Amino acid sequence: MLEIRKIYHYYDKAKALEEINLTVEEGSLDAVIGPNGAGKSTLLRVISRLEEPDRGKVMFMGERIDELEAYQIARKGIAHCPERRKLFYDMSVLENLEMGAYSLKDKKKFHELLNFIFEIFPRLKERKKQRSGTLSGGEQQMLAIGRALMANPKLLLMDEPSLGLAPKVKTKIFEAIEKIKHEGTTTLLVEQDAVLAMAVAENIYVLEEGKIEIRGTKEELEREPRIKKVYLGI
Amino acid sequence: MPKKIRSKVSNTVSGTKNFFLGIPRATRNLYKEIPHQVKSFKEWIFTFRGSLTILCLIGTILVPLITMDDYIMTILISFLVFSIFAASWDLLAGYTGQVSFGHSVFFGIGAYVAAAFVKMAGLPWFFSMIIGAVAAILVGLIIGIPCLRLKGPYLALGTQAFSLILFNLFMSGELKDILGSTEGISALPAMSEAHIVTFFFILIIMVISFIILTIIVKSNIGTIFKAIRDDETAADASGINTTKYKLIAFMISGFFAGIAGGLFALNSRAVNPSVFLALYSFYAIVMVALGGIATISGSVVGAFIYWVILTELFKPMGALGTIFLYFPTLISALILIIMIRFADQGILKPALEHIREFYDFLLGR
Repeated sequence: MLEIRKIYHYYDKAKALEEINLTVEEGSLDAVIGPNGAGKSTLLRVISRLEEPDRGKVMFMGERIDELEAYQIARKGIAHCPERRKLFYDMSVLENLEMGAYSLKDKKKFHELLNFIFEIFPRLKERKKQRSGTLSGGEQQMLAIGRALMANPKLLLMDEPSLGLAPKVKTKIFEAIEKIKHEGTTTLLVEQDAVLAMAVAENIYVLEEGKIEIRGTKEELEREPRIKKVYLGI
Repeated sequence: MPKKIRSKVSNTVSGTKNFFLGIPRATRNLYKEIPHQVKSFKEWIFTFRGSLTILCLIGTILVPLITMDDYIMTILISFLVFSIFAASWDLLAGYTGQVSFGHSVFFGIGAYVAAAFVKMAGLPWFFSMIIGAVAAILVGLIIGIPCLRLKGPYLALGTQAFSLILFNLFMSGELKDILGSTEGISALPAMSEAHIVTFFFILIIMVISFIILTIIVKSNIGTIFKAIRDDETAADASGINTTKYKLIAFMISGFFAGIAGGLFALNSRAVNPSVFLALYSFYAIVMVALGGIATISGSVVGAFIYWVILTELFKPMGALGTIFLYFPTLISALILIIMIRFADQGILKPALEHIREFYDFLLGR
């Protein structure tokens, strides 16, 4: 569904991504893990064109998308749930979700999605009218995921959903991610917490200093001694 | 007070947020919301805010019937004109987050074009005013396109630069064949014979402008503007063409600022390059800050405090010496600093809370 071929990206002269090749199959949940500053977020930003790649190709459903504008990519069905939430803080929870559904034309689908989101995040339903800036960190993350889902995306890009959350809340978020997976939404997840990511993901890419160092299925990576030592701490 | 009205009060307060539920795409649906808006307007009249607004409006209408004093009329007219101008700035800066320090450009273009069409082409004032506002839209586009890449203070500087360019262009007298030389255009025909008629014309235009602006910010397009203000990246990632909507905001804001400028020129029957001065942009900012940013209606309160109370309060000081002529401006700069430090919400919202308590008290709650 998504195919990234030989992507290079530089911030001025600092290399952020180097020769990234990555494929996400339809219906799967893949994860990119790696330490801080490895280029994980940059990779997602390049896919949704919030950042322009310096070289390389991004293909989505057989179509080249790396030359489009960010909003056009969003309309193609790629929803980006950005790092640090980036909510519309002065608007209510409901208005945030409505904005997420901006490119959705079907009104029936809108209510369907809204119900689904309120089902996986009942807290959001309780706080429907509340200003999103006053939500707790976990609730804000739920809202950010909900907003991305409101676009009825074919591909969901999730950037560090566990960032800055308490372990209990993290588990809740990841339970929701599994539910989203069961609904059949293809997801590419970027995550620092390797244990959590490997618990849900099918294929895992390890990104270090802008390069994909290791790739493989969950089972393959669990056998890898370096992964065990560095990321899983076993 | 009858029970029916009371229940309506609570209904609308909790219900206003639901305006655009289920209408994900708005620009093309804006007209469909009008019946809805009319219905909520009828309800709104009976709410606390609604009755207060109607009361203020009636008060304004009554003034010329009580006193026909030309001086008071002049003050009130400039208050009305500048409240439109402040509201147009509020739409751009308060709602869309595009803080422009060059709003006098739209004001000045509106003023000059309206004056030119009345004077040179002999068109009726209303059409000249509309043409001036349309010219301001075009200028909004011309300024908007290069300034769209700028954010925050850089946008403020960029827009400010445009107002300086236009001021110097008009000061140079290069445009004297079409738009007058350094003295501008003067001796325009009066809008009407009687002052009181002019006053009502301007009052009607002002009320209509505020209704349109309120409909815009309450509709889905207003939510999109707020989304761009709160987080442009997230808005982009939600599929909003932020470039397009920022340009739309520039154009709408330019239109109303142009109307204000046109009325200003037509009412004072003259226009000169000083309308492009940063001072006029500053007026809008002070009035919005006084009334409350991102409220639209706050602009009226701000304009009233600035033009009717502050300016008139300090005007007698001008007699004490030339240095005191600048006193109103100095004081308002001081007030702006105080407002930003201690009351960044403006005074409309806190004041409304207090009046509301009083209102509830009157209703016996």
